[in-house]
Amino acid sequence: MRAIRQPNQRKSFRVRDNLQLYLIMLPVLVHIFIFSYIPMYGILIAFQNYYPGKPFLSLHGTDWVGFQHFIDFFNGPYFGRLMRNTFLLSFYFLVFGFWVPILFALLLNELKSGVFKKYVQTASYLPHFISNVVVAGMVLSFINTDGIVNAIVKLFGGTPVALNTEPGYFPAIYTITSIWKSFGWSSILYLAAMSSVDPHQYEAAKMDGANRFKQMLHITLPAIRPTIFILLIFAIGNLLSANSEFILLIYNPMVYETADVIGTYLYRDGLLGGNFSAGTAVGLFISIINFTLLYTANTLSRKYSDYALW
Amino acid sequence: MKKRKKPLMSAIIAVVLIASVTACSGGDSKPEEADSNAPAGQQSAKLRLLGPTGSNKFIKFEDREKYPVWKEVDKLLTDANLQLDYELVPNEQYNVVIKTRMASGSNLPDIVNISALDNTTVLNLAKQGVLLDLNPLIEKYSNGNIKKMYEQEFPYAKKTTTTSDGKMYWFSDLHKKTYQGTDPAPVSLTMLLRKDWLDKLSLPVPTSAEEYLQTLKTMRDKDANGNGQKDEVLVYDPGAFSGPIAQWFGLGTSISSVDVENKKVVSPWYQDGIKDYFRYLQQLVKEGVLDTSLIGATGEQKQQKMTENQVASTGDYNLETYLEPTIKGGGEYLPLMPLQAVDGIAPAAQIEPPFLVWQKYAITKDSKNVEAAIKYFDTIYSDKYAELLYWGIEGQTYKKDESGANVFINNASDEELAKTGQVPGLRLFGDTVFPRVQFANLEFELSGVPKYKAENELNILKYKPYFVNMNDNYLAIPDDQQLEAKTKILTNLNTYSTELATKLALGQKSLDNWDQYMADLKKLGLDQLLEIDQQLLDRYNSIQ
Amino acid sequence: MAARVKRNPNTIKQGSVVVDVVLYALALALCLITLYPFYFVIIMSISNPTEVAAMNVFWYPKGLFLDSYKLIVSDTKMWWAYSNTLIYVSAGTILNCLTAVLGAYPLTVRNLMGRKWVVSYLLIPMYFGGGLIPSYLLVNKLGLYNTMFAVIIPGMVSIWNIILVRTFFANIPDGLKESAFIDGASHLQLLFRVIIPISKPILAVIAIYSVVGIWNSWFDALVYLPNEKLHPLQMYLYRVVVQQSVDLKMLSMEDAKNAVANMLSNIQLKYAIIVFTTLPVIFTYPFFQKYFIKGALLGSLKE
Repeated sequence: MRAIRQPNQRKSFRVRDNLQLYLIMLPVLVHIFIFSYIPMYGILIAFQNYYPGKPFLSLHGTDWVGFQHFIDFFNGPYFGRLMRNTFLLSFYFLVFGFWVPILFALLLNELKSGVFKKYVQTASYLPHFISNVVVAGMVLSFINTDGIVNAIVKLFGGTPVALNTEPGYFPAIYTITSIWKSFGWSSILYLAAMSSVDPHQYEAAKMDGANRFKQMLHITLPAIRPTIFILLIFAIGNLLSANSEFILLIYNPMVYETADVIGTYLYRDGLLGGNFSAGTAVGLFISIINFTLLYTANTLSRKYSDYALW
Repeated sequence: MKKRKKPLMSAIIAVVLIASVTACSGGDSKPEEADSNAPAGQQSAKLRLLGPTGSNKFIKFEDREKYPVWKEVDKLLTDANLQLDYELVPNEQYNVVIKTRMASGSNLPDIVNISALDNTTVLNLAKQGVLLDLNPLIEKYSNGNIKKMYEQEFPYAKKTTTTSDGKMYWFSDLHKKTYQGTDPAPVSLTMLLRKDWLDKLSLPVPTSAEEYLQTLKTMRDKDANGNGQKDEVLVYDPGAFSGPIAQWFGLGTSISSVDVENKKVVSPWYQDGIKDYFRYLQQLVKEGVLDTSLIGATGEQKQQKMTENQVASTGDYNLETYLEPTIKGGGEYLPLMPLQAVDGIAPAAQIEPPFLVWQKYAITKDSKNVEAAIKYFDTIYSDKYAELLYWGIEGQTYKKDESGANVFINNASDEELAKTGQVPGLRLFGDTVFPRVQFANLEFELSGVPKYKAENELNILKYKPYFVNMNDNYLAIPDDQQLEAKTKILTNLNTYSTELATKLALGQKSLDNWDQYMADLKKLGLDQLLEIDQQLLDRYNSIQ
Repeated sequence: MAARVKRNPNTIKQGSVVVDVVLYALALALCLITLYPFYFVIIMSISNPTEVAAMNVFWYPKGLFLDSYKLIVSDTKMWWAYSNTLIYVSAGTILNCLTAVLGAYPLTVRNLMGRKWVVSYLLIPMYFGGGLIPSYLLVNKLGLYNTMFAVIIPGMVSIWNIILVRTFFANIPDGLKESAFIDGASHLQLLFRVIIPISKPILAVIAIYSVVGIWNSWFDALVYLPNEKLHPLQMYLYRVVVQQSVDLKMLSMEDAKNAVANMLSNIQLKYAIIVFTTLPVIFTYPFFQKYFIKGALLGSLKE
């Protein structure tokens, strides 16, 4: 990302400007320190046997176990499967879902302004407002053996498939539903970025004989490129965070093989008794991986594209 | 990044240090000063209580003043010189609120409903001294009501509430159901079969597992619900063993289940009928009578089939009357007795124990008047309170039948009851900060069900063999090590067991690899779990 | 400005009609697919409860049942919750926009000392948090527990928003800023006089994210607000959903009876509550929409 180039004549930049700029940021930095950094000591319980009521840190009474919870998780019988499913479900969503809002925003951009355009835009983000529970209920009744999907399959002469009991279908169901639920909402950001394009640019391009596709390619896309890159970097930094809240509602033991992710496993674990420490340890492990991915993506992006978070 | 690391680390360490200071000091802020040494004489003693509200949309605790039963309870409390100060948190929120409140450990109320906390957390709180040991307090302050209830009326209650070191940290809801005065009366969980469909197709009541399968097939093939489609199904979850069909094969109700009569902990995976059970389920699946799309489904999805009039059979309480009204077009469910499935294995029943102990109500370290707190529980564990809670007021909410047993009068909807106020205490304040003490009877249950259900219940009363649906009711509280071992084992073991059972039933996994499955289960700690539970059962049985 | 917006696209686009038809058809199809769930929720909310329980309603309402709405509308607590939500949303949105701008601007100045450090400082909390109990202890310690501030203050800074705003700011042509500095403006003046006026699209995005995010949130209220009088609207939806997920297998026969009754009455109520709680916020969108239209930025530049 290009930062603002400062005019050269302001030689005294360093001290005065820095002071000004930091003062502007100060409230935000302090807030983040208080509400995000201070509670971080909670991470310590990943290395203890913590239960509510115990002090987080005291000379006696804290039950340190080192990396035991991490080791237990790594050595657990489901470690491989959980990691694989969590990664794959996020990965599919990235590969098949990331470009959908971009295309949709481009499509909207090509529509003439008017009532219809506004309707389409509003409609597209409606699924974002429907609670997961209702979406899950709908999806399950659609993919049922006597649901709509199978009715369509039958219409075209196919044989009905048990979509919700065959592990093979789960990733597709999850990915399609997630994309459908989020693409309209995600497109807002791209639309905002597109709105900063000067309409004269299009006119000038047309004078040069550029058709609509070329205009899109050479004017609209470059305008949203920074946004695309930043979102992509974050999407990569989220490759181990499938939406377990939603999965919990649509999975069942028959599809654990492809559907059981770290979040759902921890949920079942938590039901049996506040495994606070083990849960925190797993969460920390995931965060470290995600953060590493983010860092790597950012480094690569800076190297090859000039856009980066820092 | 390399350069950045050092200051970053030191910053984090600084943060952690600052934070830990805050956290540690957070633990011991003093409760507000108040009448900390209030005399226990005539002046009424104040108690603060924390619990969840009820979940009923119409009958609400905040409207309690208009309910006659509350006036009676209020009188009991006033007579005991108690002045209660309730903090009731919305039901759905309580789980989180109690966890965070107890974690902060400061400014706690005198009495708190900690049912939402798991055993491990509760025992740790006790260890931290947040919860008080009740035994010495009862000895010192009780007027004898508590002891009478716990020792005479509900002697099994202490068995499940006494910790390994002989202490008791919480009071509980106590329930018993009797028949003809004193006989314990378990109800059963059984397979229900559409009686009206049997009649319509002139089919006999199945007497064996094989006949049951044939009956289900006939119902489907002859389109018993008459909608033109072969969609009459069995709703059954093969993932757990808690569906009553498993018991026909002599199997326990859970991965580690209690055989009460023989005082043994058994696992279905090791029992004789297990392979036959899966073969039978495979048959049900193959014939298409078991609806596989409902495996692991939510209550709402199962309800959908029920309402659609497609459920030929499902497992539920033998005396239930709540399913039939939800069927579109109506219907009747006949409870089946356990059916013979394998030669040489007596089919077992699955029963709900006639004695139940659940929920937890504790006294905290911040209680300013422990004597009053005990007095509160003395009031709760009195006969009068028990009557008001479960039955309500004679002539208003219940009456005596010819045999002298209590039966309820009202059968109105909650909305109407909220208007008339004719409800027993249970509906208004049970499970909030008020423990439930229930002397239920079978007579009333039987009076409200069709004859064929009552007959089934009377046959079940003395039926053996049986397994129970709530195994934990027969296990003593584990000690630290047992608890730790159990929590470590259970998630993986449950995941494996559920997945394996489901896939075996569906034929996605073969019974030929049985030894491999057994080896896996052992590796995941099945034997260790059974061993621990056996110890807990033994201790349960040894507590007087 | 409005006139500009309307005129521009027409002069720009005179491409082939076929392309237009295809694009419109595609947009229409997408529109139908995404419109359906909400339509589904609405028809479920007014259909006969038995049909709703049977999941029989797909294309048009079956029967007419308005008791759920009656129950909701007659519940005074619901209206309390409505006004609470309005307070949380308006306060939260203003604060979020303000903090996003303040946090983002300095990071776009390349000469800023330690800029990379500050970015790392922002990114770390996006991935690492201390969990529920430390946050609770902090809020309690600050005296915010069980007050409206417990929901407003911890949520007033969104790091994600700061990053989005920064990305947008960084694309503003340097010329604009340089001319301001030549006039002797301070950074704060530059920010408020030059940058913010031309950043309406991104501010609209942040506003919409905040409005919708806060409107739909319930977790902070769940943890920090045991007092029902302070609850936001979404807690009602949470309640219905939670009560519905009770495991009937864990209950004794008597309790199972009540739980089944509860579940049944909630099946339909759920849909009515969703309609009731989401309709208002959906209608805020068109209000922000004008900032996303092609050429909107130029329009605001010339204002």
